[in-house]
Order: sequence, then C-alpha cells, then structure tokens
Amino acid sequence: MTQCKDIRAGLDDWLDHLADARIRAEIDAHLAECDACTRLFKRHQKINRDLTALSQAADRMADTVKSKAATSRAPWWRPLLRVAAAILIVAGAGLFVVRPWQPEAPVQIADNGDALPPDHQPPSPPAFRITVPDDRMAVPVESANPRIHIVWLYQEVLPPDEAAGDDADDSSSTPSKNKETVRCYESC
Amino acid sequence: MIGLALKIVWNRHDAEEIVQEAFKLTLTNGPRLPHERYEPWMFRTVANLCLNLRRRRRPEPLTEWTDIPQTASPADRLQRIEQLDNLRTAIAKLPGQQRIALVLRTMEQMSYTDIAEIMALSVAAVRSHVHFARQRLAELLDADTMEAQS
Repeated sequence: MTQCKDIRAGLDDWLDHLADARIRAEIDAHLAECDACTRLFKRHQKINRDLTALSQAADRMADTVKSKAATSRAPWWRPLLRVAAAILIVAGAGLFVVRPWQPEAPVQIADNGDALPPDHQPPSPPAFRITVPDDRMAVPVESANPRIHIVWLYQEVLPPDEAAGDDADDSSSTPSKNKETVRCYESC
Repeated sequence: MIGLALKIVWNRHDAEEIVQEAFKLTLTNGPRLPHERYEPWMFRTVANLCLNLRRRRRPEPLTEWTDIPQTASPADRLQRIEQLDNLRTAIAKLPGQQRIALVLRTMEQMSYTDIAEIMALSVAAVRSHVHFARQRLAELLDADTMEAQS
C-alpha cells in the first residue's frame, strides 16, 4: 500500500513527462502488477488527452478571432489601392522624364485688343538719357509699367550754417552734413 | 492571449473584450517594477480578468471546433462532444487559482517556472494547485459519470 502511495506521488511528473527514466521504470513496473494504480493513471492520462483536445478546440476558435481581426484591419481593396498608387507614381514619373512639364505661356494682348502670337517679343523699352544738373540729385523710382520710367530730381538744399562750413571740408562733419541733406530730401 | 482567455471563458466575444481590456490596463497599470516582464504581466491580467468577468456570456458549443475523425458515427461524435463539454464544465467548477494553474500547465503547455512567474507564486505552490486541480477534476468527472449511469 505504501508503495502505491509513493508511486501515486509521482503521478503529476509522469503526466507532465517530467519523470526521469528511473522513476518511469519504477512506475511502469508497479502499474504492471497494481490494477488500482493502473486505473488511476489511465484515468488521468485520459483526462490529460481530453484537455489537449479541448485546448486544440480553443485554439481553432482563437484562430477565427485572429483572422477576423486581421481582415477587419486590412480591407480587401487595400492591396488593389497599393497597386494603383504604384502604377500612378510610375506613370507620372515616366511622363515627366519623357516630356518635362512646361508652364503654359500667357496669351499676350496687343494695344488694339488682338491676341499676339505666342512667340511675340515685346519691343524693348527705348533707352533714355537725362542730364542731371550738378545741384540736383536723381533718384529713380520703381514703377509697375516697364515702359514708364520715373526719376525724381531733388534739389540739394543745405542749411545755411552747414553750407558755410562746407568749405572747411572737415571729414568729421561729413556725416552730420549728409544727415541734414537726407532730412532735406525727406522734407522735399 | 486570446487563446488563454478562450480556454477559460469559452466565448469569443468575452475573450476579445478581456484581451482589449488587458491591453487598456497595460497603458495605465502596466508592469512597473524594473524586473517585471511584460508577457507574464499580460497573462496574469488576462487570467484575472477571466476570473472576474461579471457579465459572462454562454460558452460557445464545441460542435464545430472539436476535431473528430470523419469515420466516427454521429453517436460517437455526439458522445465525444459531450465528454469534452463535461470536462469544460468541470474545469469551470474548480477554484480560480487551480483553474488558472491547470489551464496554463495542461492546455497552454507552460513550464511550472513560467506559471509561477505569471501567478506570482512559488513553483511548489503551482505544482500543488495543478495536483489538486487534477484530483478534483477526476472526482467531478467521476461524479458526472455516476450521475449519468444512475
């Protein structure tokens, strides 16, 4: 009876395949001559097999959950979308290589309202020359129309005291003179 | 994770909810100790959520999930499904710790060391849980058989 108790203590290791060869041999030898222990071990072995079958059933159920999750994550048309995007990118790049993009030339309108040919070159503005007197200062002003040139001619007016000291030609007084001059321009 | 949850609750909707809840808990109460690993923590969380599930749905029938040879007669198929269903019911009657230990050992095929880490118990305690779970399971199944015979 004591031997049965010792053998049954090794039941878990025997079921878990953790018993070493010596213990397994002892158990097998005992089972060969003890019907009660054989029934018990076989009973537990059967439960173990059923647990494995049950586990496999659960794994099959889990597979359907996983596949459902994978399907819901990626819709069926997702691969098609990827292929279409790749085709568009390749086609676009190919077109750019074959015929680089050129901006459409704006339509030019003549003075009389007629459309000018695309290769029409507008006449270059005539060069002009103005004579700036010595006591004037010419300041070109930007204009929106390239055919119109605006030049402001400023008369340089110096304050009387600075004009008198101008002959001294003191280098240190130059900045203040220039400053006054600029102020004069602004006031003009 | 979904496999473990299914082996305890046997309902796909419940199992999905449990796993989602476990991932949500990971964000708020994830493993905090420096030596604590993520995987055992997740297994423990899923197992605890399975045991504490309040609004439990009915277990799904095993009919379409059981692998039975095509040559088996309809009566044999029915008997086999009934056997597995009885086993499932008996497992559900086990105390929580015993149930988790048994499922992790015999169905998830985990080592006693890994189970001890998941359950935050000693290896000896886990072996004890598995041992008593097996004994109790055999008793419950024998009682079912006796009942069916009488």
